[in-house]
Amino acid sequence: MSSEVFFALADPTRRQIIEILAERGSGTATALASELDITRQAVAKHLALLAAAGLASGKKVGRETRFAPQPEALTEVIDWVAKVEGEWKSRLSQLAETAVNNSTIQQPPAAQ
Amino acid sequence: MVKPMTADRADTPTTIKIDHDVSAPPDAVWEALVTNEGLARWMGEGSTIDPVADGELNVADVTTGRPRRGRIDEVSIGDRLDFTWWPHDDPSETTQVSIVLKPSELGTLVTVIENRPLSASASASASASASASASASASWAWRSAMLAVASSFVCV
Repeated sequence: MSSEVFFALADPTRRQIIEILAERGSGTATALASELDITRQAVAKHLALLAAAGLASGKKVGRETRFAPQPEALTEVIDWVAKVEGEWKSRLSQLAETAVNNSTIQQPPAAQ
Repeated sequence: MVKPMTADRADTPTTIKIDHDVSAPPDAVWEALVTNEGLARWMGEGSTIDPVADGELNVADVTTGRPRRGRIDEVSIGDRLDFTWWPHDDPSETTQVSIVLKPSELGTLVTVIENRPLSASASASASASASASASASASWAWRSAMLAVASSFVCV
């Protein structure tokens, strides 16, 4: 499991960048900078990190690099979430069973 | 006290939240969480817990078949247990867990919040905090956005 993807997604600005790229299909550092109101240099750093994590890919178009989101990398996170959820569902049903047994031992029905 | 790491965590998309309504009172659920006997029944034979801050946690974790070790971060007796844990065979999979109990109509609403920190060092410095439930809802919003992103690309 790549911790790069998790690290890349942990930053709110980078998530915003991915969301914008996903909405538009692609974008350049200049366009993103004006939209997010941060410097082009800062956006370029974020884009490089996203690209390194496999969450975006850049392609030279004239003088600029145009970035497109790479949703395949997100499946790793989605898979992790699904796995952990599944594990807890199973643990919690066992926990529930244990707790129900505890409570019947501690508190026999008073009505009888 | 708000640690910088905690603020980051509030925005982490890799937080999951699961609710489970249990037909037993909170004290019965609590007993299943913090006693060795109780823990062994749902986590597997030989599981042990020392339910105090910095106490040790060892679970067989029959669900995954991968024994886990952990450390208790914080205990609020009867209603909240926070710990950091990892599989024996892969400490890089360290996560932070909060188990919160609330009385419900049925008995007890058990909420589990599990968070994957940015790095292993983050888990050492950041203990599960009271902001965990806020972070869970923030990440929920983000998770649906993420799923939308992923699905929009499947269609293209």
